[in-house]
Amino acid sequence: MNIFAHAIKEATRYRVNLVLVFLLPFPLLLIPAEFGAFPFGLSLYGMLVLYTAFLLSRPIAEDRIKGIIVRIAASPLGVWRYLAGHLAAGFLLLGVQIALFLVGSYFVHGLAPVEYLHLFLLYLSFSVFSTSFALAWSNLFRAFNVSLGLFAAIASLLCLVSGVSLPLMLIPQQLRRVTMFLPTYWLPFGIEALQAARYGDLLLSHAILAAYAAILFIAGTVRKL
Amino acid sequence: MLSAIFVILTVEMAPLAEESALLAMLLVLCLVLVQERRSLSLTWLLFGCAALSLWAILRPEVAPLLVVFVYVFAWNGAPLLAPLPGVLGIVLRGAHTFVLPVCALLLGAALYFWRRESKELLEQADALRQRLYRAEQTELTLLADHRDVQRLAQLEERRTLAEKLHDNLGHELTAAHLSAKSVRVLLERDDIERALASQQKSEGRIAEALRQLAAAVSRLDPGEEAGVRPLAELFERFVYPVDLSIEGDSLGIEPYQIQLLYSAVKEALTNVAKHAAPRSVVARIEFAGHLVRVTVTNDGVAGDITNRSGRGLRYLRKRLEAVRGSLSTNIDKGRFTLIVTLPMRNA
Repeated sequence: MNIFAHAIKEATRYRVNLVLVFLLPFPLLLIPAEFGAFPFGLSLYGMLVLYTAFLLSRPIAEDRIKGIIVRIAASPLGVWRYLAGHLAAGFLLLGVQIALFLVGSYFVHGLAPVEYLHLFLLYLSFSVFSTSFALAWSNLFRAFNVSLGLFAAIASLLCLVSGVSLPLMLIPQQLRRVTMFLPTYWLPFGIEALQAARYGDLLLSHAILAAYAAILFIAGTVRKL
Repeated sequence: MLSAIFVILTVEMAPLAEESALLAMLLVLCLVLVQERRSLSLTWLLFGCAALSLWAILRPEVAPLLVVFVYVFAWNGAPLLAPLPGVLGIVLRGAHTFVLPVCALLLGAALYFWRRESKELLEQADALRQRLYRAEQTELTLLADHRDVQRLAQLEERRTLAEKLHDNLGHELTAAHLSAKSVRVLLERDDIERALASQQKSEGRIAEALRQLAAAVSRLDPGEEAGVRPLAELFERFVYPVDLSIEGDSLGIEPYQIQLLYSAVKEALTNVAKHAAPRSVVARIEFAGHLVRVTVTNDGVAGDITNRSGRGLRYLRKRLEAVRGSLSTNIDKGRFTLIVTLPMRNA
């Protein structure tokens, strides 16, 4: 069995992951659109992506805590192949989740297909950032439960102030000048740009999410003795 | 380095809050992180700085980020490159903004020199640790060789003794045995004269065998005088008068132990001559059954001397401990005492 298959097996071992991937996205579709904007569920889905990415990175976090990654680093396999396998497995499951969500959204909300393509790409960028964030986050802790508890608090707060769990238009402009430094801000910003057909700003969202993902990935792959 | 960069960025970028400036900041951070993790050459930073400079000329809101490159170039020990982005930033933003680039340059340079100094100190410490390790390994090897030499000496001695016993003593005893047997045969034949002659020959051979046995034993056992004589001579030849007393029976002491005691006494007397100005030196050699103890005391301790042992005594201590002996020192009211103990053959 290769690393990718093993990682898929590990990720689907937890029932909560299966619930997150296959079940939880659908209730978000029932949240209606307000103020002539896209349905708010599209923005709130970002929070689900964040939590899903964190829980899908659990095998990596547990291997790190148990010291298995140190042994892998010394083996012919190498850390990068190990990470590539696990991250590919995580992206596959996240991609499945995003696809299921957008298909459901098409049937519920019926937006234009090109908008769904842009949304898919935007969610993919956000899931790349979320996975890097989860990797960097779990590097800070020695126990997964502590990591999860703190992550839940911090992620919820991030999503609240950056327009993911609260509509962006409700956030005052002065606060937006500060929250724009938060990576989670750029998902609702991108959705807003897509709705207003500001493709330049949409591209900017992708670029900023990719930059954050790169920085957090580098921080998350620092090996501590 | 990264914490300093974060501070610079927070101070410079927070008031601006432009999307393109944020993207530029993230890309600069990414470049700096990759350069630090992968130890990329400065060429990459130079490319990044050139790209940011071009961006700053077109979009002045990203100009504050040039300060990061001032700091990074200074931190990486590139003094010629460091001022360039700072000068460009000042030109684009105005002369009043010179403070942060200058501070970044000074901070980067200071940290560069501090890092270089730390690295040199670490390398020196590593070199010293290696030398110490090699010295310890050499010491262990020498101690092992010393034990091997002792063992070889014992084996050689036994071999020599076996040869002598076989070649000389064995022949004499065999001949004596044959002569004694022939006495019985001759007596049975009533040949009294030849029987007497044979008995005398046998007696002579046994006497010769006994003489050879005594000679062999005396070579093995040099005796009390030969054992402690070298030690006594050391004390007699010392520059200060020594009150020496020898007590007990030195029969059980091995030659290598005499050698060790000789080295210990020599080291002790050398230290007295070098570091003390004694009025009296008292030495005792006690053979107490299972133990031999040598004590050397002098009352000439001068200056602020502690109970620390010098290198010579430390090495001796290791040699003695390798053969289950001990070496200890004591300072009490100006009197320095060295005590060496070794177990004897009967232990």
